[in-house]
Amino acid sequence: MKTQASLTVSHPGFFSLIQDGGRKGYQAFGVPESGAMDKEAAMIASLLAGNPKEAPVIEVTVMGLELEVHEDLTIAITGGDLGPQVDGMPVPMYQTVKIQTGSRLRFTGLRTGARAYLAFSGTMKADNVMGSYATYTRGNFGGLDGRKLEKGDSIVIEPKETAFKRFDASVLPGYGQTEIRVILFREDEAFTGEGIHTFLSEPYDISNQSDRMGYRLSGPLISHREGADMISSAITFGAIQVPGHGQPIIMMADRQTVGGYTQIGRVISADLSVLAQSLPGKTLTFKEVSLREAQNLYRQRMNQINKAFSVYE
Amino acid sequence: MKETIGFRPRGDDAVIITFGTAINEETNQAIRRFLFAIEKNGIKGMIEAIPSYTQLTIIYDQQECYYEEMLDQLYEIRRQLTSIEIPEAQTVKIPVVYGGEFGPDLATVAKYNGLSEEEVVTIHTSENYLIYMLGFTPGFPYLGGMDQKIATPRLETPREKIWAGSVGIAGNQTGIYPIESPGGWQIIGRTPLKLFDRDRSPEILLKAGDYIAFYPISEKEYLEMGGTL
Repeated sequence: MKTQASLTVSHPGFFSLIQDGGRKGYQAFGVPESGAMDKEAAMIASLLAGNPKEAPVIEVTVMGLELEVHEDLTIAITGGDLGPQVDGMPVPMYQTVKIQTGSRLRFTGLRTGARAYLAFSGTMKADNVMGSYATYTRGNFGGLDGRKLEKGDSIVIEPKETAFKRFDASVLPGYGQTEIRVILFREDEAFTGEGIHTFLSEPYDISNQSDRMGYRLSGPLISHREGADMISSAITFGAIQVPGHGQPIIMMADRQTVGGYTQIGRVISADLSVLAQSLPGKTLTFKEVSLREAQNLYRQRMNQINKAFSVYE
Repeated sequence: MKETIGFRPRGDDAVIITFGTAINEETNQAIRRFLFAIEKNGIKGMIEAIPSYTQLTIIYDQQECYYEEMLDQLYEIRRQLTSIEIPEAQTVKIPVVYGGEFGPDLATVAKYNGLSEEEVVTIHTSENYLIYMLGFTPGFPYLGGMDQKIATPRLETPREKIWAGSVGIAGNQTGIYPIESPGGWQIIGRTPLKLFDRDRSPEILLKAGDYIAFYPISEKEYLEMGGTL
């Protein structure tokens, strides 16, 4: 098995992790799903690179990752625009790009979104735990020794040839979008009419206490009917918990599998990508949609994504 | 039983199956029965099922199934429930060194309840505890059935580090820490068994719906069983 480094981390950046489509089938055992925060962007990067859609990628958050390249590789970068450059020259995103031995790939600074996804054509060597390469830092497993990338780390790729591909990113939502669509859990009857009205009509800021586990929002208080606790139940990606303090928390990729705070609703799948590309300080508003509408929006998005690839042999 | 099982959407790719509002063995048994029925029949588009105290949450691939199509499959399973044979729940025996450096709060628990340390151990090891669900950290069991005679409030100041395998009490609950983590439970002992071992198959020792029985071992036995200091 190949062990020689294809790339060396010369600067780890703010928070760079190996992620994939997420750890499936283990939430019943208390193991969080993890995986890419922006699953759409990660999937597009993998497909551009000619890899399976849930293959491991590097999730680069906000800024700073710098890699020394020791072998000719084909890469694809998607998601937030973090100013990727090779030897000082801008690298086009949303297409396959060849990078040469001896070059240096660097994410110079944030322009749009929050997280970029870097895929390499071929197989990335990483720690597979319970069927997934996703790094779960709180459990210290997956990805690269269960932790974020650090200076001096080696990344090993078994490279493969792939056709040149492009993706028309205009089918994706703009990451500046501030309206997040939700399905409300009205049947839970956990909130007052006024509480629900507040949630749907007032702006909420993403606070600094936000990470891969969840986004804490700050804004007008949401009132409960009878307290903020319920019998613990599963917490899904995008579920919006409202603890006793009345401020919502949107649960993200590394969320706990079960929890006992009341939930007001859930972000629709088609808007999870925008949410994952939103940083603290951004102001969000919430709009209710029906279940069928949400499911159609997601199907539409996936169809558009599938049609947005063009291949040049 | 059929009347008490309900369904409702949980966003665009999940359904929760509700089994009433009582946290008890009967509810847990009904959830377990439903899980076996799913395993036997299969559900098109299902990604995973997450049991909790009174619910079962199904995550599904919404490109494969609309909610209504999931519901039809779940109705069918509900219809077949009475004819499903389910295997008896397993009881997993958990060896524990009680007290000393392994259980620094055993004395506190004894004192709080006006018992001797030996009495606390006898009470703690005399029950079978139902595993209602796993969560909090990978492999952490939410257990039911602890005797009120040894119930003790959490520590006022949580510890920064609780060793993996630590057995504790918080209020009227008992539990085991699968991985090293901070925590405020009263730690009364430690097991050499690994509740979570990424290199073992299965990685997680316990399963919702099974039972746990604790039994006391010596420090020597703890080390012989592969326990670490």
